[in-house]
Amino acid sequence: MVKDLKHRFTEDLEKNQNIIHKVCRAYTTSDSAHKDLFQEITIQLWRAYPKFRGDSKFSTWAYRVALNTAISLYRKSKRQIETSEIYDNLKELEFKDYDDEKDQQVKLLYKAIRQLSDIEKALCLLYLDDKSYKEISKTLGITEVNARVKMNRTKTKLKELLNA
Amino acid sequence: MKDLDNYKEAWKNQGSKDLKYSYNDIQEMLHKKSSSIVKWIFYISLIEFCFWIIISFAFDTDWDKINVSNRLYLLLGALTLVNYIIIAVFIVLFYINYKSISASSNTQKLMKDILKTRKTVYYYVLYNVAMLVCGFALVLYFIFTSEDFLNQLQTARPESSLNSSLILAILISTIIVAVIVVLLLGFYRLIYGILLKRLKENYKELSKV
Repeated sequence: MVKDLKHRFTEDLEKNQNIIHKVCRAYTTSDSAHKDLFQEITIQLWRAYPKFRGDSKFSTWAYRVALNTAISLYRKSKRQIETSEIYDNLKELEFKDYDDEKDQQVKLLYKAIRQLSDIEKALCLLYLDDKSYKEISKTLGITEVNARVKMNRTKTKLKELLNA
Repeated sequence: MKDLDNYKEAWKNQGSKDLKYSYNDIQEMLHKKSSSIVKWIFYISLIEFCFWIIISFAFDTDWDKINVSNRLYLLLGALTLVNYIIIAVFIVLFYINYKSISASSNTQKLMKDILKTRKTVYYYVLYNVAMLVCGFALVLYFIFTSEDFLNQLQTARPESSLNSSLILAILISTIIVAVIVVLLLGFYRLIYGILLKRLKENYKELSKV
């Protein structure tokens, strides 16, 4: 029974891991921290999985748990701040291989997102992944009006950072 | 927001360069231990519960050493019993709040539940510190009003009047108790300050309209 559940969960997560990587990349500044956060999210997902009833898609549910873990549960280590520059340089090297315009844009987006606050990062990710205001308000637990106000401010800030 | 829409397009097509974990990698992660702040809060709270229970036991035995009247002994016994009931209520409240923390709640509820759990322990600590101060006050009252102590005080400081010696003794003990309380609360604030600073800031930002 548990083995079955574990198998199903692993398959679901393997298929949807892209979402978790996006969250990890936005909230961390080093490869080791990215792995750390991914692991913590996986543990939190696995713990909550028995209660996941499938009334929403696995990806939607996993997105929420991933954001919650990054915002409220994960403890940032000091090591992260120290290695942030190295990480950016590594990413620079990594991107040289595929440096077309779209990749450059993704790179700039992450660079800008990392300068936002934890809540703004969540809003930004939800916006970029085309979530509706209803879904954003449900995920964050705020009213739709509040979500709209916050989103507009975040979009303006993001635009400024991208144009800086 | 035309610029952003452009970026959105690129965002949606990303992914190929991200790290990919295999089925086995994920299975391995399931056996790892969580290092979330909730786990830290849980362990620190357990230590706190144990610490204050040990302190109250220690005080329990102290009463026997002081020669108190029967009526007062009964009163102290009743107070101890009430104290244990209150501690039990705190532990139950803590457990209920702790259990309500779920990573799949909405973000605001999750943060609220974490802060609520911490607050239960905070009130528990405040209650215990208050009890500790009352305990000290009672013990000191019995000591300062006992004849043995007053005689000793007079022998130790024959040149001063009994009243001034007594005031000095009260002052010194008050300072000692105050230092203990400040150290205890300061240490407590430091631990939770480190642990929950980011969460509190995020909660404030999210709740702000």
